Amino acid sequence: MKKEMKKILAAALTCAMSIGLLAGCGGASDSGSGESADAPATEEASGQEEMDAADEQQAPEMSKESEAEDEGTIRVVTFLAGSDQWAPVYKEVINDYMAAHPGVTIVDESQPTSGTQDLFRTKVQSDVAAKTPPDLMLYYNGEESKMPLDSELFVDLKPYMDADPEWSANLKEGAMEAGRNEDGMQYCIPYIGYFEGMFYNKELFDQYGLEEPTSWENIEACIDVFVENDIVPFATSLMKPSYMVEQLILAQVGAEGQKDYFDNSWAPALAAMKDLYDKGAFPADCMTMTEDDIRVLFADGKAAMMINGSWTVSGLKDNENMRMITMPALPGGKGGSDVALSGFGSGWYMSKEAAERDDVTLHFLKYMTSPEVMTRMIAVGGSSAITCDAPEGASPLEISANDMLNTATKFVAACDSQVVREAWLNMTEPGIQYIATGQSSPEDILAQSRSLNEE
Amino acid sequence: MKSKKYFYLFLAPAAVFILTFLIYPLFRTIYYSFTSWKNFSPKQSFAGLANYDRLFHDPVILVAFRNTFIMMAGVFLFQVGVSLLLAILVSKTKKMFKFLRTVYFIPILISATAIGLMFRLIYGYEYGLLNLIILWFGGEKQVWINEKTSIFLVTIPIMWQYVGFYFVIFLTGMSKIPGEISESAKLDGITPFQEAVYITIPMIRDVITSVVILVISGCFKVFDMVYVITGGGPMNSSELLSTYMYSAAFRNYNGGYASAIAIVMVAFGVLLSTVTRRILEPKETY
Repeated sequence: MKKEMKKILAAALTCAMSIGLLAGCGGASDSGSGESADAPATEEASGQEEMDAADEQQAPEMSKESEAEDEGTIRVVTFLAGSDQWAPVYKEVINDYMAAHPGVTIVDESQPTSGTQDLFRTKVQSDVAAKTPPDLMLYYNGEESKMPLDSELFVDLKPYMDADPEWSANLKEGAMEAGRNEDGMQYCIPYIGYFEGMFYNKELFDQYGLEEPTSWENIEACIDVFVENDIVPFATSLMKPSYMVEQLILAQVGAEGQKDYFDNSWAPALAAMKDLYDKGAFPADCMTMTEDDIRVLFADGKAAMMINGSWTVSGLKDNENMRMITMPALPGGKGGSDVALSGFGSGWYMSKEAAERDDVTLHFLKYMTSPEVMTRMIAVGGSSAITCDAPEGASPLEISANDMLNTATKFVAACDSQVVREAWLNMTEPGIQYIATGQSSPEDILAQSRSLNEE
Repeated sequence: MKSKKYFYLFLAPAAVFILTFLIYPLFRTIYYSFTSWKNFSPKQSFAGLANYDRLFHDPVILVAFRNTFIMMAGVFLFQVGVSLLLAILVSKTKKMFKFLRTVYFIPILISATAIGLMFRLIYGYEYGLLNLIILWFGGEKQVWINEKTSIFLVTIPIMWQYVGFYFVIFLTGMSKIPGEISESAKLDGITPFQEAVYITIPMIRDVITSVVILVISGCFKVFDMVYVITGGGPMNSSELLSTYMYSAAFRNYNGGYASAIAIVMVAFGVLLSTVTRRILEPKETY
């Protein structure tokens, strides 16, 4: 009897342990399908009444449609998180949508992409590798679209655009090309465009009686003066010098030469980084500074110039002395103010599973790409891939950035999205450090990256 | 027979767990190391020994090995040495024994990332603590983290954090030494130094062996502190095998190459631990 009791007890314990383990796995699978604790599904909806009214007015068809739809959950992954400038307005926009469509739950699994840890790319790539893609994701196009396209987990959006001309009429054709492949497949809907250029603090140039950095001669002249006066000429991190390298390459080889990836014609641009480093144009700790550090240095008025992009405009626009221009051509270079580095580097992908399940995800995609939402997004920064009203009350920095884009006759996309990532990072991180300290030549680093790009 | 049935039954959950999350991924990693696998794409192509060929010609791998050995040497001397010394001293203390034991153990309770961030702030150029102290004394600010100093500067917080951990292990080992041995030695007029060298250390030899193996295998696991303080730079100068593998996988998205680094790391770790055990373990005498 005693032995039997022991047997029963042992069996019960084993069952309990096994069930516990399985329950653990079950829990993990649930969170994988999107019902994670961090999801803002239960977040308070802000401005519900206004949104109800606005939604009814702006997209009456959508609201009626949603009322008729069953309740659904949409898993969305974007990089509009963390310190990203669009993160707050993105949160507002999805909360407004949920308030207007109480039956729909949006599980926002967005992760930040800036800084030292690129959680966003890792998140998307692991989701796709595990064949559990988000229903909707804002991900990169160009070279980086290979991964989602190879997975065959995402739909061609062209049939959906053709089926709803009222919606697709607002999608700018020029911008849509950035999300289309050679076979004509519209794999993503480009969204917020970026532009990159040279920011400068006009106050510092005025204070030391210097010409504004509209030519390379002016830049060279100001470097010595700033160094003597303990002002950092360029707020640049050699740990993350990508934006500066992009601008120097464009300033050297122009729009056409930029497409000759890792060609030796890029070498003078990389050599210019060494010249600037030797002249003390970068911060003393440029080898270990982070992207955040350089933004603080420039915003605090301790640096005169910074090469960066449209995503930093919102943090600087309140300073009346900030300006933005294209980096002037290097001596003998083909670049200059007629070329702007601007493009649509990311877009919305919709998964096949979500498209086959119901219309809820498509409805939300149409909402996100509506002129009303777009106006709210570009009020923060960037350029729009959707025809929409311009935001009001532009700052001097925004006006100068707009002038930069209006002056340019040629627009090119950033190289880093057009080439193999490993090849680009080999050249910029830590390649530039080796070049700046004279441990490698620009030609050697370019040859390494060329080889990685061709693998 | 019955006992064997229960043996397998109770072993099964843990075995399933280990097979799923350790053994299976290890074999998958071996497989991936022979493939060209970029961007975590669902498609991989067989690449033969290409990843290993690249690895043996990659100068950063040599830097990573050199740094791992520098770290091992530093950690061995300071963590094992200092913690052993502290344990010997504290074990002789009657007053404040519990207080000292707690104080030395506290750093182990702080997360490595938090310690890394703290030391990053200490070494910082613009607002760093060290430069602030130098400025107080009228000196000039210094760039602390550079190509030559980086690996030593990241080793300091690692050594500091784990001293308390090994200190407690040594202290526990010393508490097992019978008090009679020490008492009779004292009657024979032994000095505290002689007691430590001829009695305490030989009596905790097995504990020292375990600590040395823990220290060596621990050096292969160091990642967070280096990642937070230097990110492996400048110019890969503070790169370890772990940070370089992470960088290959999650920065360059080259899964094949990262897998090859991981396999070399595992093989080297196992080899080194085995050799250390063989050298340090006392030979059995009959």
